[in-house]
Amino acid sequence: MEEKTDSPLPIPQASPHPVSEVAEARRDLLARPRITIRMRLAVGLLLCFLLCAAYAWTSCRPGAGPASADLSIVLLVLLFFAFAVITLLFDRALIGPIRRFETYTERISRGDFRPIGPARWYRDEFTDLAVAVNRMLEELAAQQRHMVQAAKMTTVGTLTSGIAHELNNPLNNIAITTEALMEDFKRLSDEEKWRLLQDIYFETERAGEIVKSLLDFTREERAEWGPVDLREVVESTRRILQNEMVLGNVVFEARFPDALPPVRGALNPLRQVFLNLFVNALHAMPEGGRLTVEAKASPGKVCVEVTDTGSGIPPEVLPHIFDPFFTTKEPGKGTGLGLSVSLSIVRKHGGEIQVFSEPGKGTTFHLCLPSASPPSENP
Amino acid sequence: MADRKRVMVLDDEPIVGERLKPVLEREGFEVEVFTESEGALQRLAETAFSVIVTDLKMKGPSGMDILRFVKEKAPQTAVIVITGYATIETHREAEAHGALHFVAKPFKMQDLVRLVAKAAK
Repeated sequence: MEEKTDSPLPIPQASPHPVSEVAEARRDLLARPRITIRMRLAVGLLLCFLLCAAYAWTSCRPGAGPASADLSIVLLVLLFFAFAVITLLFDRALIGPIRRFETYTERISRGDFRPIGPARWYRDEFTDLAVAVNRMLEELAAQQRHMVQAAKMTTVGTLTSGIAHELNNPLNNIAITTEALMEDFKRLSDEEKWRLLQDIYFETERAGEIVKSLLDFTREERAEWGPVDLREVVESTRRILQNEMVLGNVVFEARFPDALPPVRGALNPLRQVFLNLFVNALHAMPEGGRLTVEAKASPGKVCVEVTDTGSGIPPEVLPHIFDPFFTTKEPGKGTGLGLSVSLSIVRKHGGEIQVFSEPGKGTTFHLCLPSASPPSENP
Repeated sequence: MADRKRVMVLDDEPIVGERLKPVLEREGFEVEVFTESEGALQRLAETAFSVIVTDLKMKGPSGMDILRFVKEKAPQTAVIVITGYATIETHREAEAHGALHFVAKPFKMQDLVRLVAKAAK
């Protein structure tokens, strides 16, 4: 499969980007000497005006000799030259930055919200524009953060039945075991009492684990970037959904090669991506089925395929599934943010998601992320 | 011993059956415990029970499937549904299919035993 051409974004820093980075870019931009386009325009016009005036003076002077005719020609050539230079300079002053801003907008639309840094030794009107764009990027990043969190909470919200079930079961076990212990306290042998207490102990732990895994997932924290083991991401996500899968008659299978390099990224956002993919897969298989996760390492990246045996996605719907707020689920079951947020998370990691679907047979999400360590055979 | 009434307890949580069995036996019932609905369905096909206590959400056939099966085969059997996720919809559905009681987890064992005893009369 051909890779998309957009180069992985260099992400040495935490994402979303800390405020200091924007402030730093701003300071750097504004520290340069100010030479505005307007100032340059004024100087150019003045120069042309002076040349014109000199030409007029030499050619219109009464009693001008052949020497002054030569001078006029020189002045004309100079004037032409001045026009050429000014045109060239303006081309560089205007067209260059416009092209540069074009590349910025492309980068931003890919979800890379790093601020724009200085590109030249001086500053002008385009620097003001860069400062304004940086301010906008800061706002965009903050909104994106809120949207990611909202989408995360919604995804968890759709799991309430599973979570209630999963919590009430250990609670019920604790309740009835305690009741048995209290009712029959005199009648039970020490050994039996010990066994009942053990049940209570482990069921408490089980309930605690469920709450902990949920809290781990929903906590809003500054994502820490580093090497992430995708096996662990998939396993911890599966644990959150374990009950949903058992009750939904979904068989889960994960195939990981023994030596899978870690990817470069943040644990929680990646968990969110897989949770979204898994939840969608479960929703696509209301009668049960098989959910397969297969990982493969290729030079410089790790690719994962998440395949379900569900209803599939109709071809007319397929182009829209990553659009924000696009959903085919009934109201209350989804906001249409899951996949769009997943895509933006994956792109922030410098990766890509592709989808293949056959109605009636199932859907495969193919996801690639850059690995944390560059391959050793790199030239 | 032939007049001892049969009670089935079906829950994929083994502890539920383990705790309920001795208490119900003390009440004079003959108790059979199942943790998988497949096995329970097989047993229901061959034997009649007075009361069935079943979980709702389970791997394989659900409590609702058990309820439908029992009500078709032996309508006089009392079915008590216990569930960790009680909603108005599931409650209505269970009642529509003929469940006698709908009990949300966590429940009190004494309450449940009382319901079973009343249902067996």
